[in-house]
Amino acid sequence: MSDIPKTLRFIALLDQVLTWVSLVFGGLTLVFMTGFSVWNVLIMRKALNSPIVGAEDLLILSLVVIVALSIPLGARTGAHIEIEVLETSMSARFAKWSMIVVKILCIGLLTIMAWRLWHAGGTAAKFGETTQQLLISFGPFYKLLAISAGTYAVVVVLDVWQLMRSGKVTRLKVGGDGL
Amino acid sequence: MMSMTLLGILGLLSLFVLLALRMPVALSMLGVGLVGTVVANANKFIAVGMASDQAWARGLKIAYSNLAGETFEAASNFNLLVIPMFVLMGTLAGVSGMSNDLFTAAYRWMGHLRGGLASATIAACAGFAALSGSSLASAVTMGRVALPEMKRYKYSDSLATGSVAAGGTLGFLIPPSGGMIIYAVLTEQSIGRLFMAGVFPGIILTLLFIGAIYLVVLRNPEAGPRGERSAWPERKEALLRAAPILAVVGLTIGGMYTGFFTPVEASSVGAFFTFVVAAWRRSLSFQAIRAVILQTMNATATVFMIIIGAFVFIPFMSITEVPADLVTLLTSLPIGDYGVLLIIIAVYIFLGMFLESMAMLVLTIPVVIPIAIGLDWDLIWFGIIVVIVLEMGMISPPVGINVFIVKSIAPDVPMGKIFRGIWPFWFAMALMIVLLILFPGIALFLPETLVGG
Repeated sequence: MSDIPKTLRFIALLDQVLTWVSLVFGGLTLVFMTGFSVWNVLIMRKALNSPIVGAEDLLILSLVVIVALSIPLGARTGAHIEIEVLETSMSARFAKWSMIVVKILCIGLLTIMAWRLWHAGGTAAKFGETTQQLLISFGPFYKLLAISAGTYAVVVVLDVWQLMRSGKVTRLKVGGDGL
Repeated sequence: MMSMTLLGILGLLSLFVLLALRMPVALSMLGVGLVGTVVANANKFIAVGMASDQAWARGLKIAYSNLAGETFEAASNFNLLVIPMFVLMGTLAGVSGMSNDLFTAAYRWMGHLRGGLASATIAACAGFAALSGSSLASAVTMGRVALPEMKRYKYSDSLATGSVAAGGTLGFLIPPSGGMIIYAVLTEQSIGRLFMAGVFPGIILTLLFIGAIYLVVLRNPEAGPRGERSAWPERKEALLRAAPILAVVGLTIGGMYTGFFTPVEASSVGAFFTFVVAAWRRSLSFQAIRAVILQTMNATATVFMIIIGAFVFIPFMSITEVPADLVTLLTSLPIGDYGVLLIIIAVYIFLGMFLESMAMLVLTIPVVIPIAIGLDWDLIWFGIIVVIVLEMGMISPPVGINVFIVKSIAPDVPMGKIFRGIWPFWFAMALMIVLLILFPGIALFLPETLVGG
């Protein structure tokens, strides 16, 4: 079997993984953030005057998780804003090759970002980077963001492949609108 | 060795080149911020006599440390928790059909007036804006509901599409507003105070939009014929159906303004009760839940990636002397504060013709805010002006994003006709800015009264 269908199958698989990871883990995180925050505010703090210790810590870490899960999904859906004003005045050839060059730059940038975040995750414990109340180390969460940036880089590599093959990038559709 | 001002200008030029080549805004800012930080710091160390290779190594180390640190700082910013929560609230409201109830209520009460359907669209957009914080979501959701109705009653295409496109922009001004949250975080202002400051301008702008519709139908009665007059029981029933949504808005926004909730708490409570209302209406099928989660994460990705880019870019801009030089230049001009403000507004209006509003916000803040601080402007008041000018960009030709959204819902209406329809609303926004400049209290009264100066 040729390499082309394999890559296309990989993109389809990546889409499925991103969608299901977002639905399951993203969904659970959103439920936790909403439910826990409401429980802490309405019941524990307002009704019982006994706020949960470290609630803010857990919400902050949940936010990091939801951001880390969202970024690669957004990369596949085209959520990251681009300015397309000049596209119509470019020749098709220039538009394609400039896009490929720009995407290669993005891959380099995201790789550096992933590397530095992973490195920061490794040294977080050494520098005492923890949450304020529960003293949970930020290390694993730096690494989660590193994986997120790395996955974004993989998505852009696949974009380059799609551009070289067909001149356009097919996006994952989730419906809805940005902010 | 390069001067800091020159470095800053080169940084801005590189940014524009990357943006023009369609590099994502977030990554453009991240890249320029990273490289700029290396060069700026290396230059500084060389200037104090450090050996060149050591200076570059030190510059690189600082830039790497900034990259990881600022990324984590943005992703773990407690105040930004409001973004996924308010987006969740808006998507829940969108998929569960609450927008239909809002529109029906507004329509039953206003539909019999000349131009009443368009006014009902504006009112429903304002109501939906208080749930969603997104102008695109408001335009899409209300467009799908209102445009077919306006077509049925033979409204002119330009008034129908113009009112949806303009009404949608209220999502950016009426709290909770995504634009305000980003402005607040990047300028270190209170999200709660900004939300409060947006209330009266939001209400007044809604009324100005309705006034613009009145003027259009006064000139051309054919543009907005009267609809059927609803009987009182129908009006009451429609209002009752919309009551749960209005109650969620009241609880969330009211709780925040009375100090019962912080903005972060209000966002979670709002999302929770919107979920309860959606579940009670039995509108949460598996497909709907899937759409809610994925759309929430999609919007979260957009906002956070751009904030991460801004967090890396802004420190670089601060190291360069471009913002300070610009402050010196503008304050030395014999045009006074109002003159400087008008220049800034004109630049925003110009940029708004080509740039997406959120991108424009993060790109301009590093340069514009030092000017506002230098001239001792209230950053809350200035934030409201910026948000309204950004709204104007959303409906300005040639790339007003809301116009394209409306075009996607009404593909048979030519773009020229849609743009003709937005002008009355564009001037209403301009009038709102004039009012804010003449009477800053419109924005500042509520935060100063409820929270203090």
